[in-house]
Amino acid sequence: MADSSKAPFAFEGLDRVLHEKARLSIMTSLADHPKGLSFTELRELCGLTDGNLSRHVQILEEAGMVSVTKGFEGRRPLTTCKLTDEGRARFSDYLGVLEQVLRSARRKDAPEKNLREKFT
Amino acid sequence: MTDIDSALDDIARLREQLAASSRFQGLAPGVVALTGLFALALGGWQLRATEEDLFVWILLAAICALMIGTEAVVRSRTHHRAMADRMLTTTLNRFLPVATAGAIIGIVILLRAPEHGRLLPGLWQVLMGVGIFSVLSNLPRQMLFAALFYFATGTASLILSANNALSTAWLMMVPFGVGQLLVAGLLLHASREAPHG
Repeated sequence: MADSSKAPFAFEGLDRVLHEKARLSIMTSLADHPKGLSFTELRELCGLTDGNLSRHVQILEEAGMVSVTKGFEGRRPLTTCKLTDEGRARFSDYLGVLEQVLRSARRKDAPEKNLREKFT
Repeated sequence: MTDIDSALDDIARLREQLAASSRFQGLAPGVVALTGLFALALGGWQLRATEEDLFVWILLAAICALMIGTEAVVRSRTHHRAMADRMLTTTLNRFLPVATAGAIIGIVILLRAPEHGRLLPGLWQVLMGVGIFSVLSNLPRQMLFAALFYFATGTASLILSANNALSTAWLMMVPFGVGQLLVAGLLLHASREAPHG
């Protein structure tokens, strides 16, 4: 594993399970809805097809980050997805690293911005 | 505001949301049970020695708070990782005012109006119930029973403190000894459940 002091932009903490557009979208939607979301709501919020959503939810479930419960609403089957405690902790860790990435980018961007402002 | 600032704001909001909806796992059943056993031991000693001193209970409460607090910091770092500080701050912000109120009421009554000291066990138990209620949204749902237990024993202790039938040792030992063992049992039960959704 790379030494973070020697390679400050290695960002080793970026969780590979989460570092994917669809899964990031699912995790963000679920983080905003602590009581969970139905499969249909999640599909609409993430703009994914049924097949894609199922595949990514299954990956997150196998990683212990999302819990899936199957029940009924009236007579209709209802699948609900929720973040687990492990999912919340790992997503928070991931967001922490993402925050570092953005802060690094802002520091890198600042001198160029200052120069632009000076000469325009 | 730049795109980066806006993204950083979104990340901060999401992390707050994650911390607010997470169950606090800093409370160790073993340490909580030990505080219950301390209460039973202190009460037993006071009954044998026919002691009624309530200051010693404040001292025990401070020691227990230190034990639970130290363990909570260690466990939070393990369970909540990046969220640990947020989780600890949120829990402390909710529980600390109630604990401070209990300490102020206790010290002022014992120093300035010791004749009303018999009311303290009941008041402390009611405050304990309020404290648990205030952090209930971040604790296992079973902890509601612990809050209700302390409200019930607090009410009973306040009623019983009106007559001198029971010593303050009984009014402290049974509710806090049994109460803390109940809290430990509920925490243990919750920890054996499926991961919190």
